[in-house]
Amino acid sequence: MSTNPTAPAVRLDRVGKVFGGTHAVRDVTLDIRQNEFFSILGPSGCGKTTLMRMITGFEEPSEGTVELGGVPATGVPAHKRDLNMLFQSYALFPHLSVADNVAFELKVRKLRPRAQIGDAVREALALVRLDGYGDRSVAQLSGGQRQRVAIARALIGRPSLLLLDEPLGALDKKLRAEMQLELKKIQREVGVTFVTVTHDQEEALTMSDRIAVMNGGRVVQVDTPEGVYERPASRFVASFIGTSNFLSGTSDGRVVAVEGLGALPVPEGGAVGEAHLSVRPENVGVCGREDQVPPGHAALRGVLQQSVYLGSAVRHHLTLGDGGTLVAETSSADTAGLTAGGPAWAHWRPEASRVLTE
Amino acid sequence: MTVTAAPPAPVPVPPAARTGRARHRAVTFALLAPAGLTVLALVLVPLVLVVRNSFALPDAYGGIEGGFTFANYTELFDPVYLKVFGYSLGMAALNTAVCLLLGYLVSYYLAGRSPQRQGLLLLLIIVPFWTDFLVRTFAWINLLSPGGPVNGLTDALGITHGPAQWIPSQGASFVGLVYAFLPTAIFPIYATLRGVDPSLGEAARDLGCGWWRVHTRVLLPLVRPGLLAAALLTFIPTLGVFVIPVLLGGGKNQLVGNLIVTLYTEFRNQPMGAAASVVLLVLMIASVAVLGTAARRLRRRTS
Repeated sequence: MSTNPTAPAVRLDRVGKVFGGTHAVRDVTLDIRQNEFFSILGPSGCGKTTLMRMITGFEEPSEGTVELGGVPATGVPAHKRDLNMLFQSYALFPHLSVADNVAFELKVRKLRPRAQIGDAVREALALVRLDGYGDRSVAQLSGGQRQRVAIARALIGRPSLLLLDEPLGALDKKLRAEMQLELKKIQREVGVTFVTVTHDQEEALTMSDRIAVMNGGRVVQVDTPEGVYERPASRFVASFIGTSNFLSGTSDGRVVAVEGLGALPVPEGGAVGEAHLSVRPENVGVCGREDQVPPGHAALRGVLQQSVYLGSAVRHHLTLGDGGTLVAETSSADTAGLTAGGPAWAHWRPEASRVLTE
Repeated sequence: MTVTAAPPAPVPVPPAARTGRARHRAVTFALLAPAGLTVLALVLVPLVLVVRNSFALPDAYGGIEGGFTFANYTELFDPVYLKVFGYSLGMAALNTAVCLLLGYLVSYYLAGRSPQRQGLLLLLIIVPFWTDFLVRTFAWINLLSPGGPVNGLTDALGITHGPAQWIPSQGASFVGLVYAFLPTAIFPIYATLRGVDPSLGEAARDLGCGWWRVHTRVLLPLVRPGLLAAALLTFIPTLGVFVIPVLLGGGKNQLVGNLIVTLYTEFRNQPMGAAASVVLLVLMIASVAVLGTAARRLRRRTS
């Protein structure tokens, strides 16, 4: 399959997939750019795996079209697509040695003359820092080493696209942090478009150039990690990525009037009508008296239920006048003058809050 | 804390324990005796008799005269008998090959279904398998008879015109053999294939394998232990079959099983029948040894 170097690596146009009458994926339109590290992020059952399987060719879309490198992929079987996948279970062939696993695609697709395969395998194993492991059997490797072999096997044929299914899910915490950086490094080195599918927001935030957030079969937001975190498009995104406080009320574009709590200033030009004010705990400050609230801040009076020491921060749980709770995280120094069960004022810069209509 | 432990003195086995062990052994023997005696009476004694008879001289009335001779074995080298052994081995090999191929395809299809569907389909394979061997073979006589259901189908498709004489024939006999042993081949292959991670097949496709190479390069090598077990379970019993060739093949092209029956009953030559039985037994043991060695070598290579 020849591809156009200027076209997007993947273009999904109104793609849908129906399984037994229910939509697993619905109306997804999305461009993934060349050489981008792209993440599809969502809770389990949101359709992200189905979406990925339609890109690999393991599933055909029921609606819409998939284009790979500017070429329509409809009807092109998986083994004829110029892309590879890193399976969650790694899917290494247990009857082959490490070297034979890595060389598999070169032999099947006859990409290199037989004499050059050995060098290509050594090069691929060096890329994932497994020099000299070629003769081992797959059963002799640790989980992290298996993943490295799987990466070498998937990249040896230099596909224009690599799909990674929950790439760090099976690794322990320490290895995960290491692999996050390493995947990013490998991606820069080989210059291949990486598309990962994950339910782990931290993984998506640290590795990706852009993130598509999925929920209920739809893509609800596509943005940079910073954009998704700082400017969530909906209540779902604001709560799925990081944590948020939500206050429901009516917005007139400048203030959100929350019943029982009063009017809270919000950034100019926001939505009008029924809306949720969303503010992240780390943007909320807490003080003991009203005159300590910095000028221009949105402020709410409440009762401090408890403060939890987290090391780098202190998390305060406040009960508000309408019975709801608000969570604030402040640096440890700010706790003076606060007592559990006593009055407390929560406050934030209006620009740190978002007005969300969904 | 101070420890003043004397070196442990050798503990003499108390007489009670010794009698306890003896009683234990006696109970074990008592429990094993019924099964042991059954095997002795129904397997070992007849086997010894058959081996003894295979070296004996026949009397004129179909009995055994005694004595000792190798003539029964040398006579089996007569081309008439050699042909039967050759034909049997060939049929068993062909039947094994067809059963392995069909068994693999059926197993592959089964393993790809949903768990509920797999259960139902397996039941559909197992239930006829539990039905009596003879009844199932008779069923094929009806199915393949002139104007029978299969004939009706081929007529409707324009393959045949009018009643077809398929029974008795070598072909019908072979269909019967495949039908009889297919489930035996499916079970071990299916069991092995179910243990293979389905993402391995997808990984093969992802790395450039079309349908054929997904099987030849990945799935078949991984189910080889199941294929070997299936081969063992198909090849050896096929060598001993005698009902199917009689009912569906008209008894013309005989298998070793039929030869033995003929030697014992029609020819009333017990020593030669015994010799043929011993040769069949040796052939079976040899095939177990060959396939068993292959399986062991496979295990050593993959572990």
